[in-house]
Amino acid sequence: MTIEKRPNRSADKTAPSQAPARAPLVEQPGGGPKLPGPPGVPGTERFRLLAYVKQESMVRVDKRPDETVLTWPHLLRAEFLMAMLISGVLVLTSFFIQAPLEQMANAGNTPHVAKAPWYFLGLQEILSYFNPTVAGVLVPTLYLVGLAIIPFVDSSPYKAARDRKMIWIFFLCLMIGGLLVTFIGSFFRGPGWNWVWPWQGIYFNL
Amino acid sequence: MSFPGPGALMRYVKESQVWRSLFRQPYPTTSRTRALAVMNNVFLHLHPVRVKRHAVRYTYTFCLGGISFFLFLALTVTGVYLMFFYVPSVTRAYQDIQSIGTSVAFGSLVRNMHRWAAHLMVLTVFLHMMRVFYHGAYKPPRQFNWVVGVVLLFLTLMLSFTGYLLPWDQIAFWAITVGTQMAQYAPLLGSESSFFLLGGIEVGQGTLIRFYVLHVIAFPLLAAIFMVVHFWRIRKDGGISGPV
Repeated sequence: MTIEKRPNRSADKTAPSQAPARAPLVEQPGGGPKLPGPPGVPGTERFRLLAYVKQESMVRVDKRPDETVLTWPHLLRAEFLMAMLISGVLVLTSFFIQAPLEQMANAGNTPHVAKAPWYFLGLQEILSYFNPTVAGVLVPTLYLVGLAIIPFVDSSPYKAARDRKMIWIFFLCLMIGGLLVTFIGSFFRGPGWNWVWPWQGIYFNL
Repeated sequence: MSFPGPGALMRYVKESQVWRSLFRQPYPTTSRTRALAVMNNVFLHLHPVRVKRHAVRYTYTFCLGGISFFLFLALTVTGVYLMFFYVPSVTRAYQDIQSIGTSVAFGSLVRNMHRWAAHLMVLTVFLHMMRVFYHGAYKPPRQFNWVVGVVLLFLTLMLSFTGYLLPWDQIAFWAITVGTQMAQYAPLLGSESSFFLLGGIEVGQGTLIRFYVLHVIAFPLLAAIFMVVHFWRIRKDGGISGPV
């Protein structure tokens, strides 16, 4: 049997006029079926019959449509194909593009421009704007801390972008800001960390 | 005298104790045996037996987390191969890299793979983070796993950065010089932290051995531990997050 529990209306103080007009019924003497009692009294909630479903042994009546698939083969196939694809891309790239190797390290021979690895070029770029304590230490620390606290700043259950505008703006600022300075540091900086257009020369190593 | 045919031979092999100890079940073809295969295999049981339907769509995750993990494995394999031919000494390191490129079997290919996979991994870890943010997958109950992910992002950067010095060429030397100069300005610690990082007052033998040990043991081990937690939390937090 499928039974729907109806809300006890007297608990809803905004709509007192919705209280049942029917006379409250109490438990029948002699152990008969439980009937609607006075509102607000625990154990006297009212129920109504929605449908009668023949119960087949252990099959649950409220079984929802199955929204899952078997890991073998569905997920494993996707993983295998992706692993093959990445392996192929990696081997082909490595076959045709040589990893850079310049002259042996020489502390006495300073290059025209010394650049950090590309993922730190954004940091190196802001190092030319602020003093080193801010740019070299505070900014990267705050950047990571800022990323880490996102779930604690925005813990609402809403996932759509329009329901979490603030955190989207915060995240986009971090991402676009980081991307921008990294891009400038990578392709627009040359000797002496001066501005250089990419067509004047690219000072970038991978 | 007659020799057994290929069918009989195959039957004999498949009924042998050795075969049956290696392949304890036949190839799973039914839902039941496929579920058991995932449950009973130590590598496969990283996965639940069933996954949400949307989770296997390529365009939901773009496989970015999986690709990052796969690249980590590829980097481990290629890295171990390179370790056989590399000595972290300022007098030998550069020549070792040169001879890996010229006289080691597949040396050039493996070094290139290691380098490109490392750059690619930094990229895929970043993109994975953006994907997770887009889907709001850091929301309860997944807050902790997001933080673990940020730690993994940091470790990925540190793995790449420490590896950058090892070829001991001009790119490596000056990139690390610039990178570690920033550490001098850490409040309170100051030049102490720079000395601690470099193992000296400038990039030299002390730096090379420090970065080498961090690169081949300390950071990979730490990353592996955090990855174990990362994957475990996915299972414990109810699988992959739902669509937006």
